[in-house]
Amino acid sequence: MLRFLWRATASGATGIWINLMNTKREQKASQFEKVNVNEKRQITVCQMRPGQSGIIVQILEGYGHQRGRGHGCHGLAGRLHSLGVRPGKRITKVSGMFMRGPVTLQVGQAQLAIGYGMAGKILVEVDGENP
Amino acid sequence: MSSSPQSEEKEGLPTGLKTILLMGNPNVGKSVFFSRITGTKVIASNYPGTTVGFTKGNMKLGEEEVEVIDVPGTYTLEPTSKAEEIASQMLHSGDLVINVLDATNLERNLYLTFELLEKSIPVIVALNIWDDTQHRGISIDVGKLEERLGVPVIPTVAVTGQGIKELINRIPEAISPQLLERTHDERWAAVGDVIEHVQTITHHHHTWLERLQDASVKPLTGLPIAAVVLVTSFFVIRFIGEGVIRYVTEPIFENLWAPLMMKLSVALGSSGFWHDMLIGKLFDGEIDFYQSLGVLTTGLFIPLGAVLPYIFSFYLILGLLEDVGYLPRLAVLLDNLMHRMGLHGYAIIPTMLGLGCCVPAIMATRILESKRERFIAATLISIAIPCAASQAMIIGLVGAEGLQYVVMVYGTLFVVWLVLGLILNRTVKGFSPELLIEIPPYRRPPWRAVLTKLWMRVYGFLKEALPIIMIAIFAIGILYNLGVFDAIANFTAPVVSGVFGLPEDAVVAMVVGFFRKDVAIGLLAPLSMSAAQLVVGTVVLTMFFPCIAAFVVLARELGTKGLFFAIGIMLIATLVVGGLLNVIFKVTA
Repeated sequence: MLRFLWRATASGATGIWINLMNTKREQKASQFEKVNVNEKRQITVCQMRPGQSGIIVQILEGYGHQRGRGHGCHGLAGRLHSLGVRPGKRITKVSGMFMRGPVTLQVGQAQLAIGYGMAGKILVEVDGENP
Repeated sequence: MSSSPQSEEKEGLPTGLKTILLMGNPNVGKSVFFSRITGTKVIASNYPGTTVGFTKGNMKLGEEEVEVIDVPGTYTLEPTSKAEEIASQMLHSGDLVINVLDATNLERNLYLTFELLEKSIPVIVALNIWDDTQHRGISIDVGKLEERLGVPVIPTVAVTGQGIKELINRIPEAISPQLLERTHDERWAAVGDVIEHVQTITHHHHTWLERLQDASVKPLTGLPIAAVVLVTSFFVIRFIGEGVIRYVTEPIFENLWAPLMMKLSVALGSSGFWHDMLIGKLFDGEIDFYQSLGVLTTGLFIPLGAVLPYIFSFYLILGLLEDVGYLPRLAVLLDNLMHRMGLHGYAIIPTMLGLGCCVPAIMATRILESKRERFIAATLISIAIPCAASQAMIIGLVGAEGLQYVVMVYGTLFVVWLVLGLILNRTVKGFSPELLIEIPPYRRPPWRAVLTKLWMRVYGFLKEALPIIMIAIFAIGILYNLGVFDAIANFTAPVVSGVFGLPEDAVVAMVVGFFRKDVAIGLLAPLSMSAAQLVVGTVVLTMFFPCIAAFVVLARELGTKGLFFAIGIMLIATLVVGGLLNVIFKVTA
């Protein structure tokens, strides 16, 4: 229990900036995270903390990456797919820029920077805090 | 860099082998590879998308000349961007593919390989960047990989040339296994299976380079790092540029060239048409290299004496930043800002290139996905980004009045860039996609490659600029003699002196600005203007109309309609900004 509290405060301290960066909606989400600390949780890449790893569950299709018509055949999933970002793949969030800036991911041996909107479409099952 | 690989004639050389395609993911070193095997010099950098068009070259294979095409990098054969579309179309025009892989990123690279193996074209695999695998804790069983893929696999290090000869020797062994077509998931499964059996990754401690890598994309550490990198670059460029001018080019011109020209001046009788054309005006019986305006005095001094040192120092630093792999990180940090201007972070790469020269910069806007982004980026570059030649003259002329005036010029241009971007974002129709880029690891810049690239760019400047500058100076002399400029000056006086507050003669500089901006800015020197007028003058000249070379590329990249829009925006912006600056100076004076 003590350890849990320590972890929560530590992550709170390091999370000051993250809280500043993230929107209110996500603050709620990150509180939600802390509650379910022992379970495997599905969150989007935007909601991950820098340094956190997880396995991709799903990439939501649709509106987001290309806000226009005529490119429908190769949507977001297709582009991410060819870069090796696909369900089942393990990723680590390296950093996120504030004000909904791009998110940097470690995918295998490569690093990718993806827009915030796209990052919000990638669902990840993050590792539990206490394995 | 001229390694012309020759192999002994091989038996079983694929008959009718005419065209070899170099294909692979972006930033795996295809361009370095290309210059290795063909001896052709091409520009290569450490970021995805260096090659936007395709480059052709020739190599000798046995007795035959074979054409080699450096295809733009692609992650997949299903085209998801313009560069990838070109790549997959080109597959039909080749007879053999050299598939270049990044050995440090095997899994992702193999996806394209499997796609290629399904096509009916012989493939040979180069496992490039092989030297980096060891210290990253990656070990790959090449023999097993070869067995699994069914085509030859050769580890290579393109920057040093290691393995290239062996690869060329084994080209005849390339075959097309023509695997059955698979779905995405089946292909990834196959890749995963191969990886599992072929590659082992041992944990290694993070090197300081990797720590720096992460630090430079995190906002808290990345933004200060970016500020330090950019400010340092600026001062190093200025330090080298000014140093070379002060200690090398100016002494050469003053002490060696000037006496020679004075002899010529005397021989020509110190006056007359040819004297005015070749030597120009004398000031107190002396040549003034900035103001004399003779083809052999100012015409040689501007490109060689004043601008070349800055071209050299700018491209040296840019080349280092490119090859280290810093620029994509800048793209991540500035993505937010750029989005407000209807661009995404990657647009910073063409913009940085624009600080050297508009021409490659506008061509590099092709790395942006949408037409809208390309229009905005190209327009902004041609209006608000001064090229190295202009900057050399700005720093030379305006800097003589004091550093604060140089800051004013740069500050104004930056504000113009920003505000114009915000406006264009609101007015230009279409969509701007989000950032999606691969961030290359930091690499130690290969010195040879950096120097080759520097030489290509400096040589390019000399070849393009030197003749145009000399012709422009010659034309100015003739037009002066004919009194054409007086007529134009009278006609445009309301705008030039009314709106901008410049002497009427400054219009000459604006006309010359069509040809070369550096000469144009140089023409402001003899007008004995105040510091404020110099600031207005240089800003107006930078923004007003692209030089002829930039004009041609703009027309090619944007089409006629886009060009007209861009020029319209340019003229309006110049009028507004020049007028405003003039008013501000008048009010504060």
